[in-house]
Amino acid sequence: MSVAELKERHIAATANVNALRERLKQRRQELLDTDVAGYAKSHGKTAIGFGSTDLVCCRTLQGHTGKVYSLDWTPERNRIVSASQDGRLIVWNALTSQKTHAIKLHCAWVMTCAFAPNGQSVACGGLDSACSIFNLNSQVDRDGNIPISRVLTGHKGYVSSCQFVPDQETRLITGSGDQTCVLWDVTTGQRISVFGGEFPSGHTADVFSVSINSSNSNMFVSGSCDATARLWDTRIASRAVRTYHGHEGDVNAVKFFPDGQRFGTGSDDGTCRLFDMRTGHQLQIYSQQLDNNDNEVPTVTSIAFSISGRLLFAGYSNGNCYVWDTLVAEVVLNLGALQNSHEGRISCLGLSADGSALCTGSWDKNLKIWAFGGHRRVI
Amino acid sequence: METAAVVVTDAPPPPAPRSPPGYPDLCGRHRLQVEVQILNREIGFLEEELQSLEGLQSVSGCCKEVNEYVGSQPDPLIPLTKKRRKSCCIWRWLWAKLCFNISWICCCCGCPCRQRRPICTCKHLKNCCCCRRCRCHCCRCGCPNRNCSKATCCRPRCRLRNLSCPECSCGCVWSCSKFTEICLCPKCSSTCCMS
Repeated sequence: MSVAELKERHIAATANVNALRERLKQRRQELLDTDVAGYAKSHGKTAIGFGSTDLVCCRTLQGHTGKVYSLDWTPERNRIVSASQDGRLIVWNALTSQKTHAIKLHCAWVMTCAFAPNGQSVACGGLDSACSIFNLNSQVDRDGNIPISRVLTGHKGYVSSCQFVPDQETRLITGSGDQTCVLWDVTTGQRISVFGGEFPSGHTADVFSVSINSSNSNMFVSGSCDATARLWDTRIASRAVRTYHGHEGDVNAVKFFPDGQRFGTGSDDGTCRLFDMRTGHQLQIYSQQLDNNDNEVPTVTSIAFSISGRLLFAGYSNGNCYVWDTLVAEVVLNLGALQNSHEGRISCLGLSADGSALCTGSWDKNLKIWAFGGHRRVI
Repeated sequence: METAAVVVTDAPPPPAPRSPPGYPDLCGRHRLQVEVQILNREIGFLEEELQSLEGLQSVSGCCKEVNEYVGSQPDPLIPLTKKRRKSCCIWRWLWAKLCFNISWICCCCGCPCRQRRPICTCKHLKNCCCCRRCRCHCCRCGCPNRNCSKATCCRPRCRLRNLSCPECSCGCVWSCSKFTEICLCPKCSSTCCMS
């Protein structure tokens, strides 16, 4: 086939894709008979009322000397690992605020960290395009550092996000600036599957975040600078199960809803959204009305759901941390405006495994733990 | 006087880079082929997705599921006011009077966890009832035996120990400012099981 013919086919195929996308958009619009807030309010739901002292900062974890970029809780025992611009991972006992480990990294440009399900190992990744694993029980070397136990190499771009597969100690998923996600075998260091890339239907820009479904660990979602989120089945790397459109900017954060059937996203367009995994429907947009004086829309950097799914915590680039009532789509609290809140952008946040505490990490170099400080009256 | 004829010839042009020869653009052709393949694949996926929308439930169906799920889950971070049910008073009286080893009966005192917990196996406990003043075992490990003075508490480990106690919801674990292994929470005067 000649180049001219190929070019004609390219133009025709592009037009066909655009037309199909438009039809899909219209068809989905026809099915959009309500949203979560519309449904909830029509069934008498009202916003949760938070008093000013209902959610309080009960711990400040100080020790990093640079911006905090990422954090993760253990599945139990209330420990947190954090990664910072200072080139260190710190493991904290969240209850006592004590540091149990401080790991100096070979590559200081770290972007993400994660705890293994058994709490014995941590993983991190960043601009070195690799994911490093540290066993917290290892003997320290001559310099007092914990040695690397495994390096996962293969990505062709920075590692932006990583998460261990919940019920499998030896498997980990990474998201990367090379537009792919990879499932790794941590014990061998080998790539098991690559999701996306040049030919398979993957992201067309950097992947910024991943979230594994705790109800079905074969499924995970990735968020990307191509403004989409994609659902993957780890058993089928050849194509994404579904692509979720809607955002108008980079998708910086993705997190599964506690029921495992929905997931939330946070984006550079300043909104969070709730998508239904199975149908692909966009169920709700969480968007704050801005003052006319606002020139720049604060971007969403990180999100987490409370254990019931009723609350959506969203960190923003302007230091706000909104607590959204997910059912009525209203902001019920701003942790960024509370006493003792962070003094900089909130870059990461995460909920403890039992849902009793939220940890936020910030560019002000600190982490803070927030818990319920109010009263439940039994009448 | 004769003048010498000067023949001025044009100097040759300085060397200049030349455009590459007109070889067939194989790289561009290959790239185009790959792109067309990707587009055709995308067309297939989009057609599949369009077909899957036929008969798909509308958004309201999904919203109903979200509403039902959220409404059914307890949440330690949410302020809550619950009415104590009358039936709970009867059970409480019964537990206080009788020694029942019926572990399948759950404590319905408003405790958010609602899980069925075994009765306390504390050997100091003469009355095996766990529920006094709504201190359900599933929410905290406060040994109902107030005279228990052992440094290491004999009470069973609560697997959900980090949940706030239902009555005063003090978030015992997190709000206790003087954390020790066994801590006397100033708000609810209960010992908090922490580790």
